[in-house]
Amino acid sequence: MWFDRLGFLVGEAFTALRRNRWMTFAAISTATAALFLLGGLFLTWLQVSRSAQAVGERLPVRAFFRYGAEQEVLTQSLAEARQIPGVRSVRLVTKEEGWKDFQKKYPQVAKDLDNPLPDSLHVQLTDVEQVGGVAARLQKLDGIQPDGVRYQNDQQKLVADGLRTLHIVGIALGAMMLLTSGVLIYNAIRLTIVARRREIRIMQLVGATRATVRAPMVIEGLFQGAIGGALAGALIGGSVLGMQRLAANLSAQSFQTGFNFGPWMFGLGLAGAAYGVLCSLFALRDSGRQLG
Amino acid sequence: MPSLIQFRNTCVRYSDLVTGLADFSLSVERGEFIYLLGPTGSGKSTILKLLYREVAPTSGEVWLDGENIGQLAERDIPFLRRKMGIVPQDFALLPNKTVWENVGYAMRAIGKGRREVRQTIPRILDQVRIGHRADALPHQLSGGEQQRVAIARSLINDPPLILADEPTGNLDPEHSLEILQILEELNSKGTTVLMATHDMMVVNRCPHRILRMQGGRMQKEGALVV
Repeated sequence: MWFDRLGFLVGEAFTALRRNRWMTFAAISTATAALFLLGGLFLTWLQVSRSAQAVGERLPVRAFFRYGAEQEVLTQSLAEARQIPGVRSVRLVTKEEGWKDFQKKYPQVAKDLDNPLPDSLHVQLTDVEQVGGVAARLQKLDGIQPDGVRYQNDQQKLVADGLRTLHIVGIALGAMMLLTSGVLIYNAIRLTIVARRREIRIMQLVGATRATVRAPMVIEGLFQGAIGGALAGALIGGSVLGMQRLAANLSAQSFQTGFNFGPWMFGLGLAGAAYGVLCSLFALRDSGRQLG
Repeated sequence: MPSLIQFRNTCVRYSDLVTGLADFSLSVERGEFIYLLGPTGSGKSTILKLLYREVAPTSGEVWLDGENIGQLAERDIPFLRRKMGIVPQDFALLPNKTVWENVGYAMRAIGKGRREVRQTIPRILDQVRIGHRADALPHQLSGGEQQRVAIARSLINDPPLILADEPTGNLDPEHSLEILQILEELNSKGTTVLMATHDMMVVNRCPHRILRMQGGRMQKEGALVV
């Protein structure tokens, strides 16, 4: 009985989808574009964030102690540095270790010099965007020279700014597209209400409940959103595979996104369905007069 | 046993300038056949709309089968409508569905299962003598046949009350009498019928209780038109 009932309601929804096929096509394709853009930008943002993390590891922050800083001060500052938010790891590099590294890297420069280096902390970050805050906290540690914190400010700032811009552009573009697809789904449902006014009137005359009158329209919105979302997931999957192949062909370093096709399609389909239902409910709310 | 329908000093005001019904009182017993007679805007459709709660009374009361339907919550209105059959003037048929499908669609809309629809429709169509055109589309039917389909659809709930709003308004005299005959048959089996009309020919041919309406008020009540 329950199945029979659902069959009737879904049948009604599909009749409406067939009847408004161009509006259905417009709504689904815009929802696809919006969710493709949002999903794609999210994926890109994830990838760039991972890269930024790698940059953070490659561009460590160094904090130099004043000459002759006592062992207790070094130990104490090392422990405090480990507690700073945004710090992944801290290593105390003694002046001897530092000099050894220097000699290895620049043997010509080092050969006639005595060791001029002080003890230092080598800090790796969890998030490159936090470099400014971490540097400021390191500077306040006991025993650190005035202006003793060094990092490649420009490169790290560039990465952080890039990430922030990507984030803002992604949200703005995605929101615009999402709004457009929402308006199209909304309009498709409003058109359905006009196109189905005769059926709606008959339903009302014979005593169909409000839920029965409205359910086909909600199913219609759900379907439009879900198909749009699933198509967006498929498009993103296709794009990622294409880029992986391109990277492999160019013998560039492997392009690994950690992309998992199924969950993306399912997730975007679900998000699309929820969005479609929301737009339908708005359309139904605004068509209260026709729906009784 | 209380009257099936009671209007008690009922008023409907559509706006400050437009009054649908003014201080209207009426009792209708079970099994009665009543004509609501009057020109357009006289209030006869408003009486029917009050009964199926398309409009609510501005003041006064409307009782149906012991229930004050003027106070009915929105969510209960569909269930009220299942206690009656509503026949509109314009037939309100779905043009791309056959006679069978038109009636079946209405049954499905109120939650009847496929099997029940299959079992019930032949009886209903025969009741209004349209069974032989079950596979015809509305545009293949005469006006009288289309109205019979509309009456068939109104019978899907086996209602004790039929509200017919100008059911012969779009029909020629021959088909009008045919429709009236069907409504009389239903009435003879105990169904209460309220029929809005301005067709004097129909009223004269099949005399019943008449309410003459004018400007939202009952002008005169009688058994026969003089």
